[in-house]
Amino acid sequence: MKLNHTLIIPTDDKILAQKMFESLIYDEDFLLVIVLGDDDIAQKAVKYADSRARISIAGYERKVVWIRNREILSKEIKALNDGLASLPKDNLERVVAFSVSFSDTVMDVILSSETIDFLRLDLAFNKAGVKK
Amino acid sequence: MSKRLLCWMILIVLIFGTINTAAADNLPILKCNEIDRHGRESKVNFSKHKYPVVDVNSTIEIVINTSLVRSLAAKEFKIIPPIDEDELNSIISILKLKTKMLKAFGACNSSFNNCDLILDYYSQNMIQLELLVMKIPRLRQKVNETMELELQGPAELEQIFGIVAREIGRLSKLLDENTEQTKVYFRLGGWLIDGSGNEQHIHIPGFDEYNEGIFYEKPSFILPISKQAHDQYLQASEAAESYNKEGFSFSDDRFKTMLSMIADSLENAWDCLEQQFSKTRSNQLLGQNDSMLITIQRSFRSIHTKIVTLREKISAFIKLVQTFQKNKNSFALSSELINSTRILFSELTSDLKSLENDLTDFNELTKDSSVKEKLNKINFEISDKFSNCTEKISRITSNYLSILSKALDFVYGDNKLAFAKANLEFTSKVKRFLLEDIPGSTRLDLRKIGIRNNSDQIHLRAVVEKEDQISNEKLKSIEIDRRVLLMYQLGFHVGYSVGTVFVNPWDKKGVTLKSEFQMVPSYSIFTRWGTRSASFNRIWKPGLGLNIATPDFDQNSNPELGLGLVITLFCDVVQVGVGKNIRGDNSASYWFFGLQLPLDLIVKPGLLAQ
Repeated sequence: MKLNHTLIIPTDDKILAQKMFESLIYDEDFLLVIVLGDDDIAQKAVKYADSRARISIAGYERKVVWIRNREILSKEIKALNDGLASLPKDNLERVVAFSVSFSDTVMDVILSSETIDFLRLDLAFNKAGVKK
Repeated sequence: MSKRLLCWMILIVLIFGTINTAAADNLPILKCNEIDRHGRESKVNFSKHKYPVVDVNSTIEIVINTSLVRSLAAKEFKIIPPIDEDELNSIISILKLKTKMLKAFGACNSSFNNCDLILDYYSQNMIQLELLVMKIPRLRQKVNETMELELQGPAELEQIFGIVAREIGRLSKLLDENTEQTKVYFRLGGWLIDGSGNEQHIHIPGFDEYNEGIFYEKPSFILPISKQAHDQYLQASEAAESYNKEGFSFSDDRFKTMLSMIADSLENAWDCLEQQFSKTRSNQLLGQNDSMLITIQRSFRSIHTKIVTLREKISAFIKLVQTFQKNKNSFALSSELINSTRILFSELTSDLKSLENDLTDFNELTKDSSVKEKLNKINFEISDKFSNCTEKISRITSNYLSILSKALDFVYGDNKLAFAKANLEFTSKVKRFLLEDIPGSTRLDLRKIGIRNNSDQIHLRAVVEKEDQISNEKLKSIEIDRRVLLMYQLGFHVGYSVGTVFVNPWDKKGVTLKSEFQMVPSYSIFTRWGTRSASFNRIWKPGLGLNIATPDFDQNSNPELGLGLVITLFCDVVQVGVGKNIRGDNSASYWFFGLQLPLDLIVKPGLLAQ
C-alpha cells in the first residue's frame, strides 16, 4: 500500500510517538485525519484518507496520522477538545478515525459502524477545515 | 492560489457550462439581472430584498434554471423516473447548491484575502454537497469508483462535483425522457400592476404572443409646462381666490334637503308600520293567528331598531353640516365632514339595503293592500333619493379620497403588494414549452411595456403544467417561482407639483391680509434622488427645489410674484419653504407650507349643486 501523505506513529517508542503526535496536532498547520487501529477497516480508512489528502485548499495541506496501536496514545487522544464532534472517550474501540482542525479540536468522528469509503474520509477532512 | 485549484475551477466551469462565478442568489428558478441605460449590469438581489427596486427605464435579463425546472416538474407531478423521491430531492438540493459551489471557488480566486475564510467557505459548501451525495447510493458509488480509479491513473485529481455533475446530467436526461412522455410544460408570464392594483399582461420576449406596449421612457426632467399643469394651476388659482374670500365651503342646500327627505321617508315608514302593527295586535284580540302575530312582532321590532339607528345617523350628520356652516374656515371641521360623509354613505348603502329587505318581508306578512302599496312606495322613495345623494357625494369625496389614498399609500403599500399577489392568471397567449425546450434567458426592456409610474410592480410567474394525454385538457398547474420587482426612477431626476400653499409674510409692512395665512396657487419644481430602498422612495420621497407662487399681500387683486426654496416630503403631500415677494411694493419675505388639498371642496357656495 503506497501512502504518500501518511505519517505512521511508531508503536514501540511511546515517547517518540507522543512527540510526533503533539507536534502534528499543536505545532503544525495541517488538516488532520487520525486513523486508529490496525485491522482491515483501519487499513482501508488509511488508504482512502491518504488518497484524499492529496488535495490542498487555499494553501492548507492535509495529512493522515495512523496510530496502529490505540493504547499507546489513548491518553493524549482523550485529552483533545471537542469541536463539531466528540470522541466516545469511554469506548475508543468504536472509533476508526477522526479529524482535527487547526484549533486542535475534534471535528468529525468515523465509527466502525459507518460505511468507510473515499467520500466519508473526504468529508472528515472538509469538516476539519471549518472554522470554529 | 495553487495550480491544482485553478485546474479544478476550469474543469468545473466547463462541466457546468456556466461562467457565472459571481455571487448568486439562492432562488433557484428565476434569476434577474438589471441592465441600465449605459449597459451596466447588476444582479437583482432577491435574498436581500423581498421586492427589490429596479430602475423604471432599465432592461431586466431573466435567467431560467432549466435543469432545476425539469427536476422540480418531475417531483411535483410524481413522474416516475428511474430514481426514487428521496434521491430526486437530493439531486434538486445538489442543483441548488451548484451556484454556491461556484461561488466558493470564485471566492478562492478573488474576493477573500484571508485563507482561513477561503478554507472555511470551501469546507462548509463541500460538506453540504458530500452529505447530499451520501444520501444517493448510486451516486455515492459512482464517486467512490471514480476516486478508486484515480489511485491507478495519473496524478490529476478530479473533484467530487465533477463526477456529480456528470451523473446528474445522465439522470436529468432520463428525467427529460420521462417528462416528455407525460407532456409537462413550462410557462413564464409577466404582469404590470400599478399603484391602484390594476393588472395588465406584459410581453416577455420569447415567452408569449402579447404585443409590446407603447414605448415610454420616463423622463428624468419633467417641467410644469404641460396643459395638465396649466389646468391644475388655474384650478388652484380659483380655489385660492375662493378660500381667501370665503374660506372652505361645503354648502349645498339640496344635498342637505336630500338627506332630510330620506329621514322623512323613514318617518313615513315608521308611521305606516306602527299603524299596521296596532291593527294586527287588535285583530289578535279578536282571536286571530297567534304565531303570525309573533312573526309580525319580531319583524316590526327589527325594522324599528333599524329605522331609529338610521334616523340618528342622518340627524348627527345634518348637525355636523350645520356646525360647519357656522365655521366655514375650519379646515379641521371640513376634514371631519368629509370623513363622516364617506363613512355615513358607505354604511348607509348596506343599512338601507337591509331595511329594504325587512320592509319587503314585512310586506309579505300583511294582507292589507293599501299598506302594501304604501310600503312599496316608501321603499322606492328611499332608494331613489339615496342613489341621487350617493352620486353627488361620490363626486365630492372621490378627489379627496384619491389624494388621501395617495398620501396614505406608504402605510398600506405593503398591503397593496400582498393583495397584488392574487389574480395573475395565464391566458392562451402565454407559450407552453416542453421541458427540454425552455429558453435559458430573455431580456425585458421595461420601456417597452407601456406607461409606468414610480412604485408600479412587475410580477413574474413561472409554472409547470401537466396535460392529460387523452383529453389534452390541462390537469394541473403548479407555480414554481414568483418574483416581484418594484420600479422607481433611480438617481437624480426632476419633477413638479402644482397646487396651493399657505404663505405667511414675516414682514407685515405693506401687507394688508385679513388673516395670518394667505392661500396662493404655486408651482414647485423638485429635484430628487431615487434609491433602491422602496420605503425611502415610497414614504419619505424628499425633494428640494424652487417654488413659484403668486401671493397678493397688498390685496389689490393684482397678484405678485414670489420665488422661494421648498422642501417636499411624503410623496409631495407636505411642502415647506421660504420665499420672497419679488414683485410687490413691500418685497416681503415669507414662509409657507402646503398640503395636498381636495380642491373640489374649495369652491364658491352653491357650486356643489351643479
